Amino acid sequence: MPLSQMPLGSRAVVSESDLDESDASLLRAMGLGPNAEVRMCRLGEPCIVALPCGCDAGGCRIGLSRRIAERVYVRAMPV
Amino acid sequence: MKGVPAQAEPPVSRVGGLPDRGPGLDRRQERRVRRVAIVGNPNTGKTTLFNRVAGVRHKTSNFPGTTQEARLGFADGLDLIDLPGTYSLELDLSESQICRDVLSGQTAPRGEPMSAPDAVLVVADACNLPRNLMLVGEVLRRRLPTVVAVNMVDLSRRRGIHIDVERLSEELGCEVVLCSARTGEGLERITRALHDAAIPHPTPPGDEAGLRRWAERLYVFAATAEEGAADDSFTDRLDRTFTHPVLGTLVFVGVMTGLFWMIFKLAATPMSWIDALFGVLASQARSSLPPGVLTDLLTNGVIAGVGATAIFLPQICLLFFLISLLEGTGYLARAAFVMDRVLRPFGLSGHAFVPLLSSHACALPGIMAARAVPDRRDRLATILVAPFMSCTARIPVYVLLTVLLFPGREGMQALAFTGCYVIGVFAGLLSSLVARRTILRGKSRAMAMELPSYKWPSVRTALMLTMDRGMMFLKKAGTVILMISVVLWWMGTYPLTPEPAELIGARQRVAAAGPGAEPALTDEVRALETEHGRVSARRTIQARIGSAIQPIYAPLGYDRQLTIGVLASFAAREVFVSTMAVQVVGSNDAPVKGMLAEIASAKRDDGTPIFTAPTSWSLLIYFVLSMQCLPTLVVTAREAGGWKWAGLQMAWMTGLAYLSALVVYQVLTAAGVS
Ligand SMILES: Nc1nc2c(ncn2[C@@H]2O[C@H](COP(=O)(O)OP(=O)(O)OP(=O)(O)O)[C@@H](O)[C@H]2O)c(=O)[nH]1
Ligand SMILES: [Mg+2]
Repeated sequence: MPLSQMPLGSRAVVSESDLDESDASLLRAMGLGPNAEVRMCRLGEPCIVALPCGCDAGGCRIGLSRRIAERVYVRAMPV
Repeated sequence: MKGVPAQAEPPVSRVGGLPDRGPGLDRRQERRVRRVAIVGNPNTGKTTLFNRVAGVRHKTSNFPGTTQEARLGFADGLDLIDLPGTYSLELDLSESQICRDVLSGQTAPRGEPMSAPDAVLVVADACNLPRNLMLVGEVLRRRLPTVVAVNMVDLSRRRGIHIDVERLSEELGCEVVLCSARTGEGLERITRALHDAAIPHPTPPGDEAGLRRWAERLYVFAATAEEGAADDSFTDRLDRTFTHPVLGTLVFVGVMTGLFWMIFKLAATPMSWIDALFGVLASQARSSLPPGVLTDLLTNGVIAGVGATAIFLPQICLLFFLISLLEGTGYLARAAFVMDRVLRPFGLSGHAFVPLLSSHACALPGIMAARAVPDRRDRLATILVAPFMSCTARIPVYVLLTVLLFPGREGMQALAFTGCYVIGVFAGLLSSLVARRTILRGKSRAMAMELPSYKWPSVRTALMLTMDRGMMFLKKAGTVILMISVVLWWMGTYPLTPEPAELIGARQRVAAAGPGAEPALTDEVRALETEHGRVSARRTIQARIGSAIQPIYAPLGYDRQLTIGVLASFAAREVFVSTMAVQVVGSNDAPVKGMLAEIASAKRDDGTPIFTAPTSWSLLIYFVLSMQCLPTLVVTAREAGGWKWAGLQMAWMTGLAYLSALVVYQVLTAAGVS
């Protein structure tokens, strides 16, 4: 499922992306790489995700153009 | 370097070179000086820390990518190099490249041997450690003496994040210091640790996935977070509001209008004080000094020129103060996404927003900030149009002309003033559109940007910046503008024309008649004096230069004196106002209150006003659009990678300015506006 179709407030894990390498490597370095947990904060243009980075008290937020959010894929959180 | 403000010096370094350390400082002799590179993710407080430790004031803001070039600073026994923030050392981006070059020793401060730094200080954000630790891992692999500064502990404590420094430092094999660059906590320990830093022993995994697992494992091991201590719903709500298609746009327009409105409104009172001060100075000088060339130089050259510039100090200070507060909040990153929607159709991306916004202060840091635009064509378009944004040097001209067009109507003045900024922005957008359809074909790149957490802006930082910029402005008024004013006064006074025999004769007759002289006789003297003034003014060097060049500007409605004003403003835009002040002092029959009012009501020697409505509008448009700043061209050439870009910028802007002013003047004149 593309990131851009995650329900608002839901959590998921990034699986892969089909962005070109320059965008993909930047996202990975920003923490939005495979296996990263994300929480959807805002849908649409822009799409905003929070990366809890292991604890809910910290982490960061990343804003993405829809064009990018559509090409990053996520899967349900492993329970 | 101590105490020197960030943008006071021109940006001197680029990829491959670092700023000079200045003469007379042969510190390499002292073996104990260590060269330290400061690296870290964007927006982790590297520059704030660097400023504190080295006692300098470079630009900081709550926006990722504020620093775009390496800068050198000195603390006892340490040469600190502040670097641009980067998410990884392996990315194909200018900030990543600069960090790589410094860490691998491929650049060094000028006049020093190329070598890797003696130590690395990694600044990590305590609120976002796992990702920051990935960069720590990349740095540790380079096997340089390393210290990790876990910054912003004031915020992480409030969020209930506890970091076990001992455990972390044991695992990393290097010293870890908790600190807050804002409060100063822990900074002494950092400098001490940097002196003692040794090469760390463990080597983190080299592949990306491995590094990620390593960082996460480390984090779980060394940090604990209190359950439910942080509540993100407020940030969520703010983010949704600020990026909402309708609400977000309204907020943005509100913030920007409020900003410029406040600059115009709040500055009015202090401006009138400064105006009054210089008025008193001039009249004091005139009444207490003996009449003569020197007094004339002092009152009509120095005081008029410097006074007409210093008046604008409050507005310039307010602009820097308010923008700095705004930058501290974290709102700008959201606004960048709002603007992405607006900018995209014009071939710019949301990344261009902050460079364009800072160009409203000055195009130089604006163009430097364009390094943060990742795509080359997007970046070139941003650089090309940045000088269309109204910089503070234009403020004096805008104020003079809007006050002149709408005397006594403050609402209209503020509206016209804001309108100038809007016109500049539109001209920039349209120019970008043209460029993206011709020389820079293609679409702008999609945006991905970290949104910093909302923070209270630091009033201290804002005040410091304001003070620095205010001092810079005054210094300019006291040097460049003073010099130009004196030269103009000289060119406007010499060569002196001897008084005609007629005038001398008439004077003698009045003197002989004593207090009972006939009114007809005194009138005659006055008429002869006026005539003499007119004749000698036309023979001055200034008048000759003005008349020679005036035909170029005649279609725009500028007379000889305005032509001089426009020409002089090629030295610096704000010089226009001081030039006009120097040219027109004493041209009014009745004394008027205030420097601006004096310029506004100035008359030519034939008694017609210099500024009519069509002329003023034409001038206003000319100043909004034209390129009159040599330093900007130099920076454009350097950042865009060639003088052809600077030439293009110059030709395009000046051409557009000339044509637009021409149209405005001709249309208004034809419509009978006066
Ligand atoms: N509360 C708090 N704020 C801080 C601290 N250190 C820095 N800040 C703020 O964080 C923001 C970013 O600081 P900068 O020093 O510009 O960060 P930087 O790492 O140089 O950023 P880039 O140059 O973009 O990489 C600014 O608004 C600072 O005022 C801190 O210890 N506590
Ligand atoms: Mg910085």
